[in-house]
Amino acid sequence: MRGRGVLALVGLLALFMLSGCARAPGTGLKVGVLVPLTGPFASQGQPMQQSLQLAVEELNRAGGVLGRPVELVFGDSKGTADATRSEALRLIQREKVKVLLGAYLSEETMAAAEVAAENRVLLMVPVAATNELNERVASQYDKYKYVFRTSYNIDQWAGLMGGFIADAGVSSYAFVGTNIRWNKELAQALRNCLAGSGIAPVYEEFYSPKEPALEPIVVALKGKDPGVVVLGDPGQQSINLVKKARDLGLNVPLFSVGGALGDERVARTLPAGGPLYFQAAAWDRTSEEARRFFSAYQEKYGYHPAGYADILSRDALFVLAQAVNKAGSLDVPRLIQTLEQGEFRAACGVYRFDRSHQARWGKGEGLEGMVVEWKDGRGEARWPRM
Amino acid sequence: MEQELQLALSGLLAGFTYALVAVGLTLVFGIMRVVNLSHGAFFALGAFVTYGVVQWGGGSFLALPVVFLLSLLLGMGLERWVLRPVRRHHAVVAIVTLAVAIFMEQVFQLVWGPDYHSIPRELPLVRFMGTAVDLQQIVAALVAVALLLVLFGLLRTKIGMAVRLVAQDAEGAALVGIDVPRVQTVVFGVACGLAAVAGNLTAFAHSIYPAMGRVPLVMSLAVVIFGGLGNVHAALVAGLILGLVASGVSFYVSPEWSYVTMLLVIAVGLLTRPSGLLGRVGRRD
Repeated sequence: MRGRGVLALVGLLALFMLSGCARAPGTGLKVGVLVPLTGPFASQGQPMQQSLQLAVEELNRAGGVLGRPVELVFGDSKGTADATRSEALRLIQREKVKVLLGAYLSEETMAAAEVAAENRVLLMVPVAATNELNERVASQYDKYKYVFRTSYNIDQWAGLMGGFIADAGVSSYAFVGTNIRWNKELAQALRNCLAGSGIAPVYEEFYSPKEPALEPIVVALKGKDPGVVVLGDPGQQSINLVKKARDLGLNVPLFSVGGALGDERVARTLPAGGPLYFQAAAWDRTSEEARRFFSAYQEKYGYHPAGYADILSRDALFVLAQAVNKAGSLDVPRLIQTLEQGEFRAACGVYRFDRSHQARWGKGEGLEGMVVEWKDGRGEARWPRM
Repeated sequence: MEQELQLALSGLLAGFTYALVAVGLTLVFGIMRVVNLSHGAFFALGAFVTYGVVQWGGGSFLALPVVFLLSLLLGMGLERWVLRPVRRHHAVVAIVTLAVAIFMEQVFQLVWGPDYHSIPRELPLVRFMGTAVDLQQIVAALVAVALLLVLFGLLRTKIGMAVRLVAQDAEGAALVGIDVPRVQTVVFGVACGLAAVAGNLTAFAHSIYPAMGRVPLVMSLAVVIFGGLGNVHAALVAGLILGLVASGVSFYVSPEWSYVTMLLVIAVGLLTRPSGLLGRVGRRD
């Protein structure tokens, strides 16, 4: 009786191992994705995760990578560098992923870059904007050559926003952000960018993300009468600030970096007033691929994505998949060389990387972004004019 | 002049919200000698239920009784079945209430998702002496004041006397026949209800998201400490002062300094008046 039990156990074990063996060759590219699924930035992690799931379905329907399916394994970066580091290590060492993709915050991404460099694993950065990443790749190429960023960095972001402000024909602007590092860097970069056009800030303030007194900011803005107010905070306080601005009769154009104010469900609840714009990486009319993505996302999840963390994450995976197909293997040095030298078409445009492994965003570079205006709860592309 | 009037009005209205959240917290401390770290989560619950009612086609004011009753019952249940068994150790109670707050945040995320939500205003803005007067905020402040008046009135009735007795000496109150555990359960429920009502009243002005209760919790803790632990009247005064300070510093100095200055005012207040804003400093004769 006992012998039969042992035999059955051995049989089960063998079956389990065989099924594992049978599955292994089926997976071509295993990507470890680092996104904040819990914590204060989960609101941005969710669209990243959802759009990547859509992307992997699309890729696998089209035959996957090198003829084999792509698999995503998610790690929760929780909005902290520590959690990102430990999740990146888990994905590499236990899940045996070939490539990392993420994260959301710059702090998280810098931690992921360290892990990727130490373990010689490719890292695709889809959202974080800090310039420090480019500086590291440029100054310590041998160590950080594994890191590629598909999204725009702070200087490029300021360039995209500055282009719209300059074309709007205003003579002054105001910048209101939250007192975190990248917001201050963005304000500085925007100031530098617009100095050439003779457009200067008449008001530049940063509030505490904890409990900002927003009414006094709006009262001060009314006194300064800027041509446009740039809202640097992508978080929930930007929603509160727009509500206060409209309530207190500040009807000058408001121009957000995106994030919370790129959400159509929020836009529908905002009080009427002057124009409200936001910066997006892409919108429906950017390309046929972008239109298909927005349509599929809306159909599956029931709302229009903001055109930032969502579509940029999707594009990062598509650029990677194209690079693997072009390289013909998952060999890391060959992949690096392919990414450095190639051109990759995705929803936001054509991706090409400079020597600091930064995708080239800007006028005439193939990746120009889009300024969208909310009109009666619907987003309408406004700039660049096509 | 218009600017100053606008700032004063905004500061006062913000102060009423701080006070409404803080009064519940200080009431619980006064009666039970515990710091309820799930208080902010009840604020968020109020906002989320309001959001849910608005999504279903109802108004935010219609949601008010639903919010209060739901939070009252949840609070009473929490006190009766979760906190009472561990109440002997204050530190354990604080940790348990923190765990409850985290649990509630996760539930909000599961039910409503991690996104930021928002609801539109229902009452218009009117112009008065050159300033924009927010009727919805005025109504919210009036409801807050009415609730606080009812609360202060109740504390002067026979039932209120029992509550005050429990606050002063729970053992003595038990000796004269007051059902102390029942008083504590009801007061805890009412406090949770007040926090949720504050969440309902301000839901139109803020974004609604799972962790939205954390800042009101910190702010109300600050107000309670500034006013004097357990002193309900002082919580109201402290809330108004801090609202005005935040508004003034943000305009005249810099928005970056408003939060820090508020904490600084609290620190200075505690150094100069250790028993709280309206407390009497004991003399050692």
